[in-house]
Amino acid sequence: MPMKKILTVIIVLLNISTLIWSNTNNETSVKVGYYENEVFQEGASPGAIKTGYSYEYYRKISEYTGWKYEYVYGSFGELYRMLLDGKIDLIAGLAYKPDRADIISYPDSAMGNETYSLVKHSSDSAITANYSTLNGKTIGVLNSAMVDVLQKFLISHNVKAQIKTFDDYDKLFQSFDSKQVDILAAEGDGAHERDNAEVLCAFGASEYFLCVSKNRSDLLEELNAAQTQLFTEEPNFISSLKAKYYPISVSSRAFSAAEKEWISSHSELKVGYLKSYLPYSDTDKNGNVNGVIKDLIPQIIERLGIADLSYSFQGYQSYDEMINAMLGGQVEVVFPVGGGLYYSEENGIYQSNPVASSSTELVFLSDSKVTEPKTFAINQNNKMQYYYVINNFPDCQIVYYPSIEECLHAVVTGKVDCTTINGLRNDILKNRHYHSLSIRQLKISDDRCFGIEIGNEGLLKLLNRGINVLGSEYTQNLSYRYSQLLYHYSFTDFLGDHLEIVIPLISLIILMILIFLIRDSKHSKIALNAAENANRAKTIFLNNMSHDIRTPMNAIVGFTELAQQNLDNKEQISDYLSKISVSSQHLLSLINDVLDMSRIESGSIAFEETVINLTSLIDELKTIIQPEVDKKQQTLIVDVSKIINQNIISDKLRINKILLNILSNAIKFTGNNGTISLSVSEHPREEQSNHNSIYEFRIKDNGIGISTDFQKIIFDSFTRERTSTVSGIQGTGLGMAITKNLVELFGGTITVHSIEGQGSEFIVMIPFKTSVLATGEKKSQVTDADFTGKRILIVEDIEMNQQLVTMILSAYGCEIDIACDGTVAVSKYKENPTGYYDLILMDIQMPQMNGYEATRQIRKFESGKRIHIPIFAMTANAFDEDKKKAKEAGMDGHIAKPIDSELLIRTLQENLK
Amino acid sequence: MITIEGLKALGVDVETGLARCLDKEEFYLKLIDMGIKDSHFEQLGKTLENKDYTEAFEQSHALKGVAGNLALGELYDLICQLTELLRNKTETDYAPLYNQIIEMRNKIKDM
Repeated sequence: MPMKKILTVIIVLLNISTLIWSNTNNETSVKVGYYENEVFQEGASPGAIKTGYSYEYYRKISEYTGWKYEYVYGSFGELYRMLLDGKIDLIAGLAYKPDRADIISYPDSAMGNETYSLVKHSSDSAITANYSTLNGKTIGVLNSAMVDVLQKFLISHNVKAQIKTFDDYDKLFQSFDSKQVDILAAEGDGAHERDNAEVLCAFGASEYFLCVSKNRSDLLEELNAAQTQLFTEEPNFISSLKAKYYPISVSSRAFSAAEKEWISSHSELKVGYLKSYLPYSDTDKNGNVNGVIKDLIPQIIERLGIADLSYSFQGYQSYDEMINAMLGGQVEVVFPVGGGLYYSEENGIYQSNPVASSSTELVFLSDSKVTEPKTFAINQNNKMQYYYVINNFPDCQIVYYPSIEECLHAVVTGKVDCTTINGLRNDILKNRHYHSLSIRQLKISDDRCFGIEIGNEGLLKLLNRGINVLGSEYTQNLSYRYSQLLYHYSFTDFLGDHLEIVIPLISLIILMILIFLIRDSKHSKIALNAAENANRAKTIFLNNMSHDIRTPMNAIVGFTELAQQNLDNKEQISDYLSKISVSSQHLLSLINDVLDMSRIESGSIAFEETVINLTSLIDELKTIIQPEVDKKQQTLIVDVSKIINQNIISDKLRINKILLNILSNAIKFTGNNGTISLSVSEHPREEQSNHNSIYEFRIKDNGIGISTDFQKIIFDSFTRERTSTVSGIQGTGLGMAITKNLVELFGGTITVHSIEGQGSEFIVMIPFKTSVLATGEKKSQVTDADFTGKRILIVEDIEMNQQLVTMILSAYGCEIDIACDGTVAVSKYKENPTGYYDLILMDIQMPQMNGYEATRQIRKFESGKRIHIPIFAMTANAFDEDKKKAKEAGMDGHIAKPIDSELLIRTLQENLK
Repeated sequence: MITIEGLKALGVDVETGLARCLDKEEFYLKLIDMGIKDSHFEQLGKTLENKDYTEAFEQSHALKGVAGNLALGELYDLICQLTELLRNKTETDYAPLYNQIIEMRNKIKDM
């Protein structure tokens, strides 16, 4: 109560002759001067939660007076003046001084009292509890009522010490800390939160009061009456309030002579403990100590600062055995003991302060009709239980069992009415076979303590000190670590517990297994068939391929030999070489097909998207196939008039491949003088305004057609309607499979209509993104670009790259801002308003935060709050995987390094609107 | 002094580089000067020495971007090789390749 001590209020005690207690129903509003003072009076501001000794006292007084408080906040000084001026009615915590009693009213009784203590430096061994050691020392004290008390104390103990007074606590403490004074006179234990201070002794006490303004004699009367009534009805109120807010901290006191004597004469502490008593104590399966005791002893030794003391444990099966071992000198302390003080004395032991204060539970059969239990099952190895029961149920009949489990079993089977169990041990009842038991908490708790032989005062005090240092919650908290060992939940327990779920579940599982078995046998048949078909197809393919490969290879080998034989004949050689070349080309295309197919099947194909002008793509195709068409004197009709958007964004090579595969088949399977037509039309998608159209390619011929059966499998791998031997037409049987796979990768469809002998029509529908940009006049488009007024954030750690991009973009009118890594980029984005930046170019690898993470954070921040800002990765990593990662991070696209300035500008054109 | 002619003689793809800089010669030369003095070259050496291939990859990759943007031809190719080896954390003696890179870089720097 540091603040209160500053108060030295002098007052005359009022003679209150008559107390008139008028119990009115009207609430009296009372103005309370409420100042902040740690522990004593907290929460001195509007709306703050009020706590503290004084607050509880105010509340209690209100219960007797009916007062309704109006709190006035301020410093103590301010409030004290207000009390003198009559502006407030009450103020708490004032000490009594006779010479000021005429300006403030004191009630008859104090609201509390406090002890004054002498505190020394813990390092100072010259001063002991022997008062003569105080002679010649300097004692610092606050200039207050305490001075008188101290002087009286010193005189009565015949001590001549120098008293030095201080005007406030700060100065006093400073002077103690700097060792200008040897001893500190303080309120309470005075040493709390001072590591190097030890309380030497108490030298007096003082009362403090709830004081009333002189103007309010009515309140004073009510207060006096209330205090009298409070004392009559709740005599322990003040002491329990004091215990709650100002517990004695024994820890700060110096070791007593007995403690010191014990420490100096012992190098080891031998601890005996009771087995099978978790969470308190037990022996684990390796024979080592287990439970709370295992942690408690080292903790106490450490906290007492006597680390030189070693310790050992010895477990005992029964309580009596354990106590006897101590009395016989085998161990010096035992744990736990309990059951009441009387039996401790009978056993010749001291009980320490409670290590754990816990309830005792009465355990009985849930549906038992017994109201007054008569027979108790007692664990014969646990005398604590016996003591407790005969103490509290003197008339009961006791039946012994060798363990708590057997006691519980006796209750379950109805052999006895009940048993008891320690509150921290009741997890044992979670075991399944005790589910029929109920518990009821008994009124009298049974503490678990250390047991020490009577006379061993030093150890008792040390252990008490240790228990206080650790605090009352320590064991409680620790016990949960061990109490789970008290029950074992097996799988069969689980099944038994959940029968109502388990039985239907098991039935369901069996049913599912049956269904799966039946289905599986069907499936496996289907799968087997499919595998067989695939296998057969592969075999056929390999046969065909061997043939197809052997044919050009034979040609190559044969013509090479012929060429060697005719080395002189230039014309001949030239002819052979051109034949070799044709065969090689064919072989190459075969190999390419196989590779393409395997790439598609393994999913490792990647698209290179560029802007393509469809008309010119088809013109190019026409140029490629025209020689073949001409060779067979076929007619090729191309119609591109129904294309609206010429420019699409897609993978040019793959589109070529699709169309070429179908077209060359058409040429291959159409006779001389036949007609082949390719028409392209565009169907804009209405719902997709952002440049997305479906393009339809129709390739029609009047060739040999395809049988209805083969139409069904034409797009499967390794299929050919006729082998090349039969048809005279070479092929791999992969062309259409590749085509179909590619079309599907583009998100499109391919269908075929054909009548044998009349011709075929292939219809390919693919959605493409359309582009407003022309491909042909790139240069002029780029030069036309103007991004004046657009602000772009470049996120890039390398200065050279920053400058390059800045220069290019500035040339097109962009405003540029630069962030040197991801964290800067994110904060720049966040601190500027939405729309401040029009686009972000983001490097990927950067120190602090990479581009992926920066993008993720921007997207997260943006979500729901801001409009989508385009973010483009700018990196030398241009693998598909990197592009995928960029997409996943929330980026809109990818611009490769080295920078293609045209591509960069075009990307901006498409994304800056 | 770094000049266009000197760069051409060292096999730098000056045309591409210049085009990237919108044909601003002075600016291009300034960027080359800046890029070639980039500290990532030294950091790459250190990380390779420490066999910290993860970090070395980052360094090498950054330099790949620099050399690529500047169209530094042979230097770019060498850095690409190194980057790919490091991407797969190939256990090999990187000293010769790194020395080649530094040699090439010094040729440009000390022009």
